[in-house]
Amino acid sequence: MENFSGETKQLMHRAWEARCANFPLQIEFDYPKATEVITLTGTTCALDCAHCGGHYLAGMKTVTESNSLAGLVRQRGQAGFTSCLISGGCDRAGKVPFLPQLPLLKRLKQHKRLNFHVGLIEPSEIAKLQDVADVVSFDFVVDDATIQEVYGLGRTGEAYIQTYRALRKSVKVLPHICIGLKGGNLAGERKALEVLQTEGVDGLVFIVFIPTPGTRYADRQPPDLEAVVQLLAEARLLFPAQPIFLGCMRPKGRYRQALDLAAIHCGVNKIVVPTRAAVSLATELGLKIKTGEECCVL
Amino acid sequence: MIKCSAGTAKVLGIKELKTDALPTTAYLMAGERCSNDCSFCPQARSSSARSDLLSRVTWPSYEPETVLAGVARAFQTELLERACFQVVNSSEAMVEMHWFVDQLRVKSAIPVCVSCAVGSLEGVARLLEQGADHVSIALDAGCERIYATHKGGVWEHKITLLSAAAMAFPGKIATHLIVGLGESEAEMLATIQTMLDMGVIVALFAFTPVRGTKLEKSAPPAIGHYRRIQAAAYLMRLGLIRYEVMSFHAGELIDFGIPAEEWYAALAEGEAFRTSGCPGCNRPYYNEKPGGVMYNYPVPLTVKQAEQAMAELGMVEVGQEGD
Repeated sequence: MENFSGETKQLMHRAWEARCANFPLQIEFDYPKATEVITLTGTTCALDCAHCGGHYLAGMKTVTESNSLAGLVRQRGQAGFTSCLISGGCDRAGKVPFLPQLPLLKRLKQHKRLNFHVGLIEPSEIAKLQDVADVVSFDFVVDDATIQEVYGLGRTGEAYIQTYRALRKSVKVLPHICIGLKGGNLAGERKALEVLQTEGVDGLVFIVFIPTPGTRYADRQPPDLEAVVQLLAEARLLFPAQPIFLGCMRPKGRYRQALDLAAIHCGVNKIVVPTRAAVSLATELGLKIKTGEECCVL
Repeated sequence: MIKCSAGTAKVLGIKELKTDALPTTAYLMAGERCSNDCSFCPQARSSSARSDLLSRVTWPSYEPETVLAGVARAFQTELLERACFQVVNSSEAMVEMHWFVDQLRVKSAIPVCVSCAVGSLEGVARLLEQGADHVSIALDAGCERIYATHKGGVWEHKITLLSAAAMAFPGKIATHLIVGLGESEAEMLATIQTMLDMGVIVALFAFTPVRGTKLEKSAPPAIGHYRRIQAAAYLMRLGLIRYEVMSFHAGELIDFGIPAEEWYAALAEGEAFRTSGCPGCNRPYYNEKPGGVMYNYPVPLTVKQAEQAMAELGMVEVGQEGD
């Protein structure tokens, strides 16, 4: 265990107890190779967010009408896939423009389960989303200063809350909280948890800010590990009976090893691509391991 | 005539060249314009690149006698540790190479390796009998998918030949792999593990776009991508990790599968980030513009360079308190 303070360790212990009181002794480890990640906008994004700068679009498959599902299946060969994460760059309003691709998405939906990144979608679009989305992964940010600094959007936390509320009426939504999104500093994460307590959740996904080369935040550090662990433990205590996932986007290396171990002690229910040490720890703690091959929200 | 890399010519004292790192291997090339059509190579059949290029390096031509005698002398004075023949795929080039190797053998005991499109076990045996101590059969592509796209031909045949050759001539077979042709880190490392398990020596290169080739407009690999492959390949070579214990997300390496202290200790001095391949091979600036990104370091890394390379690895450290 890292050199956490006595207070943090106590918090983790309480989180672990809360987990044990509400969930069977089982953890899921996901290795999402059966979910194809698709960008609807290629590598184009109207925003140049401080943490991404379009970098992560480059690793996704570009699928449009002219490069259709058949093409995707061909590219993917025999390996096969059962689901897709429909993502993409945003327009200036901060939403992923999925409407122009609706016919394609409907065809995809006939064969695959779909997880969507939608961003700040309009209420009128939500009705259409209902037909194609199995679930929406929604970045939940409530701190106005973070929204301005990271996304450069003239929007407020209230817009995120309203969109979350509206989405939730029509479709399954899993809020994603990126810990340390504001360049590695914790800003609105706790407030986001408070708001979600009021709004209600079906589950929570935590991801952790990664300093990414070529972005405005390239030279930042990931958030202080102990602060992240405290937040995970607090979330477990605030949402004792809701599933909590540690999502795929988190730093590599020693940081990830330490984070994964601590996250298990904090009682998370699922970890995407865990480090090897985390798998060993889960076994030592007597957790039954279930493995998945898709996005954690699917 | 024989082509020799600009750096080699400088070591032999037959060319002026300003450089801060000299080759410790004589790089010699036989033939010009290959019958293969690899999309990254200036020597490819359909490439319109200058014909005196291989990777980004120029290879001026000289009288064979001058070069081979110079190599023998430089081996004697310990300026060179090895001579390496790069042979384009043509029958003329193969004949030329055999003649060069014979001539050099007469003059010097310098270890010789040959990188050529040898197609059979007999071909490999012949080179070894002739006095080569290593034969490199270049796979170049990190996986079958990339092989089909950028090299053409049958991946499985190459793998079978490498396997048979490594089994027949243990420790004498090497291969070249080019990082950054679109393979994932997982794909490349799976191939490297296969090679190491066969006993094949692996030399890593960074894809280098050259004007006139099909890939002239493509970008070289991101340094993090390259460093992770170098680091993992090094740890695999030391036997500290295997492909199976590493974790990947979206093709990127995210965990070496052993405690951080262990891999950190093995990597921190920077040895992993030096040119890899046959003993004595350092290929200065083969993939690097002087002053640019140093994919392969030709000499031991300074403390500062090693720290930088470790940071480029992108394997994030846990911040110290008060950070």
